[in-house]
Amino acid sequence: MPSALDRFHQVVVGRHQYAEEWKARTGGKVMGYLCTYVPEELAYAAGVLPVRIMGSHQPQSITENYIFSMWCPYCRDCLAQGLLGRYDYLEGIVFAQTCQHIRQTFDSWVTHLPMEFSYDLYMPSSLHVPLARECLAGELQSFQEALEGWTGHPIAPSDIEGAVDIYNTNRRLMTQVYELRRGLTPPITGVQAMEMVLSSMFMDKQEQNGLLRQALEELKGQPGRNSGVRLMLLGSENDDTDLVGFVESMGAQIVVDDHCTGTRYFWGEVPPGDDLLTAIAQRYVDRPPCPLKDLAERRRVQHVLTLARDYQVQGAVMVLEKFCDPHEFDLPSIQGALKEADIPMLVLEVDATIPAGQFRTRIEAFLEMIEVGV
Amino acid sequence: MRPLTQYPTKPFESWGRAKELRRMRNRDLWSAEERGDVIIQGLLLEGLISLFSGFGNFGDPSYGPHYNQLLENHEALIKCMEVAETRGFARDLCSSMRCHLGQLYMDITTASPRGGTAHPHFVFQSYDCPSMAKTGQLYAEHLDIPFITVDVPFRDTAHTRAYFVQRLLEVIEWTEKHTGKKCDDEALAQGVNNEWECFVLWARLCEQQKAIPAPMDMRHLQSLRVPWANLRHKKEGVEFYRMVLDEVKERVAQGISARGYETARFLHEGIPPFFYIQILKMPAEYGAVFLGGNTFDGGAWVKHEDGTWESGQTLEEQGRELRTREQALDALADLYLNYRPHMCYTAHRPQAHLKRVGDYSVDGVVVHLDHGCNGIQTGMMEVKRLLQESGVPTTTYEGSQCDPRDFSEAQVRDRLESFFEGLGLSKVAGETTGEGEGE
Repeated sequence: MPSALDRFHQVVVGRHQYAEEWKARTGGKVMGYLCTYVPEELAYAAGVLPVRIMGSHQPQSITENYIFSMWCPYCRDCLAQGLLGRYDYLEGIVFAQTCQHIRQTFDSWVTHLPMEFSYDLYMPSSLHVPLARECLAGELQSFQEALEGWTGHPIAPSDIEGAVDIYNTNRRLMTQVYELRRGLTPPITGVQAMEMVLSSMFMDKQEQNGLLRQALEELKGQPGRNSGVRLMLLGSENDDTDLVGFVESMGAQIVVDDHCTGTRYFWGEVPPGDDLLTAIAQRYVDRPPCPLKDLAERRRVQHVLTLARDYQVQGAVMVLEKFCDPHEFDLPSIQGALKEADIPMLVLEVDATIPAGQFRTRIEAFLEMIEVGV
Repeated sequence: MRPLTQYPTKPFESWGRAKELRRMRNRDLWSAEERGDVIIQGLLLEGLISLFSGFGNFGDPSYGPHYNQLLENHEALIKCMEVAETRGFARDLCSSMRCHLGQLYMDITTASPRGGTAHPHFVFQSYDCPSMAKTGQLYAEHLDIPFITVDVPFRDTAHTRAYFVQRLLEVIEWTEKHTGKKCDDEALAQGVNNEWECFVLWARLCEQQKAIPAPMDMRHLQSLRVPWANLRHKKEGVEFYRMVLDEVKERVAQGISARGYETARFLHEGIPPFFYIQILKMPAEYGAVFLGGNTFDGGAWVKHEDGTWESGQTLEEQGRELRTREQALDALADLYLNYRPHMCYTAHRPQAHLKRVGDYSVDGVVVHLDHGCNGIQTGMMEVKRLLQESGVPTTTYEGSQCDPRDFSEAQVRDRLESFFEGLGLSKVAGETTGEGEGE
């Protein structure tokens, strides 16, 4: 039997195969989504498998006619995968309002790759105001009705309760795995942690929960490794496991992160509450925010500083998607806060592919600087 | 293309009034503090300006004379960009926002030309453009004053409407609390009425561009839009646009053209480079005109299923009377959620732009691919693709609305000249850009 971590890796590299096999096995529908603000729980409650649409990190030019090349490589890479037919198994696609770049991916996808179901969910941005939760709960009600229309059957409260329970368990288990990284000898690398979270975005959560429990058992007895400088990853969407492995190959270990393929995806559970949709809305309002939804209190800065302290971080690597305006706007604030906390930060601006030689020099210099305490 | 026919042209008579209004606005702005008026720091150009009408005159320094002067002074403009960049802001961020941030960090924004500094009470920023919202946050942090923002959902569902209206109500209460002033609901209702009417009048003004010859070109529209940007909540703004619409209708009736010739009719889609605004007169060298483009976005439009944008009706024409604060804010929400199709229906843009080509007898389209803009830029490549697939001559040029370093005059001119000449146009001898001045 493969280890749980091996299985996560297999799902990440074989994500499309997994979804197709899931369909064949269950007869269910698969729905792609374009942002982690999409409330997957509701789709899952409808018997639908939600999978996050992602790029391939391969150079492409197929989107040149649809999206301006100075828009983020991630949004273009995602659309490219659709246009290349790699997501032909999807029956639906959902977008939750965040940035204009990924909206463009959604708009172009719906135009050129029409499918049974497409849904544009309004997600408020002023999450610091109480009314945002009410608005989102209302929008979730509309989303639920749309899902019911699509699948042809009602979603019972017990279905939602069940889905929330499975999703909360998933979040709790992933948090527990992350807790293991707080120690000085983490038993799991940054690459393995990223694969765990990524596979969660592609898998049936119930199945993944089994693997997460297995992973916790397997990791419990492992001695871990002390492999150098403790880093945190920050920034835009980042699913580039090669880049993470690259950083870790130079005498560092990624011990925590703040990005939407990491903690921002699974941090925080749906709280208990009589009104299920309001409770789900509360979770999405409370989760660590994307820069576009962090407007008044700079919650993200506090979240990053707390993680840095809790995970004994020595340095931060900001992986910034080229042309990602939201993160570019927050960069000076995050950098300033980390500097005050005496945590150096390296900014790596990434495209679909990375300049390995140049990055090697910069990362090595960054790590050396930390090691000698400059 | 069309035969080279000479049409009559003449300067705009309304232009003098536009200049008076600009002076009035700047005078009001820089004397606001002396009068004890509320001063709001925010980029109200696009969003919800009438929301504060219940607080009397208020000052908003963001789009004051400094911004316009910088656009004329490239060296100073670039310095603004560089100051923002040295603070860590990436060069590919919205150039207008970098310009604002540079001014902010150099203490230009609030510096009165009469000496002294304005002291804004708070920052308000409507969240219609994400870059503007994030800039508002940075304003507040730098000036150390309170910040409030309102999401503009750009879709009208029961939930979004309730959320939007409730938030507008909260902003008014919040403003009362932070300024100690009471909102005059009658004045608020009047302001909302005015903003609505200015939006409608602007749409009707743009619709006059269907006439052949067009009574204005996009350069004229760009200048005539200035009072819309900062006075559309005031009666002076409404009176101005009534006057302009009458004048433009008269020009249409008399066959008065924008600049004397009309060998071809083009659209310029995307925000133009403000620091090189003369690009909007470039077709005139070929006896052609830019009819408009993103300047149409300032209108209140009803979006039809086939892509047509039709000017909406004023609140009075709708028989809608605003008696309470709630009614006023609901009407304001209606305007922003239903009558601004360029923001509400981004996926709809390609179809709308194609329809516009037919409705305005357009011969070709120029699309500006702005290096930093996210909002207006959404869907632009899809617009280009659909137009080209539909046989509409279309070209693009890359540039920036505010950063001269991202714009090559020679290359852009070369590209557009090739486009015009490829369509069979030739340069027209003599002065073709000076008539009909008004900008």
